[in-house]
Amino acid sequence: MSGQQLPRGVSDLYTDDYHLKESLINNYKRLLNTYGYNPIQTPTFEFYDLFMNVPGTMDADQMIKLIDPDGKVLVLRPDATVPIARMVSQSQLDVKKFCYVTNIFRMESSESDRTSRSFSQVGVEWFDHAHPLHDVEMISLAIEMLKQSGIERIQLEIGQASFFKSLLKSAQLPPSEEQEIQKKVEAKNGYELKAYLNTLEIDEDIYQVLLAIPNLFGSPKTVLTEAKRLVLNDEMRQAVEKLDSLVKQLHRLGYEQYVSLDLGLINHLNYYTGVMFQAYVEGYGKPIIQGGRYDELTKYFDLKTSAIGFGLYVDDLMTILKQQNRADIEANQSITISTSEKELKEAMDLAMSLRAKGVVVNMVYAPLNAEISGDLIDFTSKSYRLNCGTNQGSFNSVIDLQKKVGLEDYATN
Amino acid sequence: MQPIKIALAKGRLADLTIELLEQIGIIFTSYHKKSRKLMFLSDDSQFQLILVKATDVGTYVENGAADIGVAGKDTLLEAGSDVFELVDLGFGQCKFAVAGRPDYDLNQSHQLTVGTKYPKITKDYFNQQGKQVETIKLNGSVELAPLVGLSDVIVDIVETGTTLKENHLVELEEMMDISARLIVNKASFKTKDSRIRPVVEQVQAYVDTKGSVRS
Repeated sequence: MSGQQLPRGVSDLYTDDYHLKESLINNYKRLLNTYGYNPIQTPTFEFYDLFMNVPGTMDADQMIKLIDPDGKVLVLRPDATVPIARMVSQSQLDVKKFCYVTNIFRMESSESDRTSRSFSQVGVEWFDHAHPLHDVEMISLAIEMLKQSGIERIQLEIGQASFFKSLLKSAQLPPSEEQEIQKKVEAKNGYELKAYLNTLEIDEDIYQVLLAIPNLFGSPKTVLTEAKRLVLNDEMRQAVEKLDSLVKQLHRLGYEQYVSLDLGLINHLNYYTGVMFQAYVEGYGKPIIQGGRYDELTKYFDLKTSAIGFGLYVDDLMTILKQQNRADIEANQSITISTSEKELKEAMDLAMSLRAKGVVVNMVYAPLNAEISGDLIDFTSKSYRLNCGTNQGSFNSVIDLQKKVGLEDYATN
Repeated sequence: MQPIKIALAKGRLADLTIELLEQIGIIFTSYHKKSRKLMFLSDDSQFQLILVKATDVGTYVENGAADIGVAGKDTLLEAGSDVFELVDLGFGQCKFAVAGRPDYDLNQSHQLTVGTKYPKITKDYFNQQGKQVETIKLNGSVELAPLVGLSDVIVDIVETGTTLKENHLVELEEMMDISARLIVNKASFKTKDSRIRPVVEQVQAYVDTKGSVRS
């Protein structure tokens, strides 16, 4: 019966998972607030054209589309950044730092349900003037977010879009050939890259550097030394210098152990223009944070600004937390109050005062049809049972009860 | 420390890969061809072998359930796995070809119907030529399709050509060469760099100097 089943790629969240998700998100909201990011929300669906006007950022096949009554095509938010850039350009606000918690929707054609068609992302966008120290702050924030969640064995990998881009540009190849090269480099497929380059007419210097790029990754020191040797033009030199000073600052801030470099990191190249980064957790096969500096995107919205941002995949983070057994969330103290009609007023008053202290109170009403476990105050029989049954007795009024068990302190026990 | 997991396709590819790994000092004494076990630990406990179906190697590696894998280029292309593809191991060589009845003309002006185990590779190949094709996904005995009129031609892996000949089919167009590839999960290659990179480099060096192990 399809009426009771879920479509592929979406799922229910049961209490424990949802609790975990909410507490993660709430912690992040607080954290981002202390960094001065302002929360915003964009609509769940927008015009298809919005995303298609920004070439090369989104795969049209991956968007989940709807048709408006007037025939216009709408899509469920396939990306968080593009709508925020649109919003910022329209609003002309002075505010420059934004954070969001949002659902992203993508059509996945994969045969298994593993890849979800709807996932949650927490992220930040900073429309700035490309100050190099903003890059430092962004990357340290990304690391802090992961550290705060309690996960271990984090690795943050940094790349520089302009290094590869300017190299490729200097080879003066048609776009289709550039794409093919990009694909091979992305897969670190050295032998196919070589075979392909051999079919093209390329300057010997450029040829050699292109071949070296898939292996330009690892510890910052080694990569930077090697990269400096391979520089062929000013843009590449600047890219390496920027990366060098970025790494130095991160080092000074104590993040050295988390940071590695990869100059062959070139996914989403149409999007990013400067520093790019992604975070991995050992033992988990996908990046859980992706971000970088993007200057081209804002141009499409007549916004003369640079921008940097990243998104964290909340659902993946939850999976990792569960893998590393760090998914505990603090459970509030809870108590059951049992009453009949006669004592309802006293029972309700007590419940309200306990709830005001943050105690979870479950009211049950006589006649009871099941045994109650855990802490219990029973107004019908005027008895109580607290602290796993170690504190039991009877009372004749709420004041008497307060005296006997010190309910004043209950929530702080 | 968790062992590095290596996913191999059951059968000949696994045997050849294990031979290759032995050459670079990763030895699985516990592995026997006839064993029904699916997991084996290397003698130094640093590596764990997992045996899966050929078409699943990419899936295991892409999702990080295995750090390293060895799979045919055919299955990698078909699954479109997002992994690092690092070494051409040189064994498991064969090619993709379009095959059909000897008199069949591929350049007719009607839409081709293609029977194949590899609909994605087929679509990509013909689309690149600007041809629209209709694929029919089959799971075996692909050679039958043109004979019984299910499809015009087939796209399949050709090793010796014997199967084609026995079914009165011929190779109409050669598509691409394929061979076994060493693949690595994108996250593992970064987070377990110091343990995985030496393996990749040693395999590469071995393949470069000795050619590859031959069946």
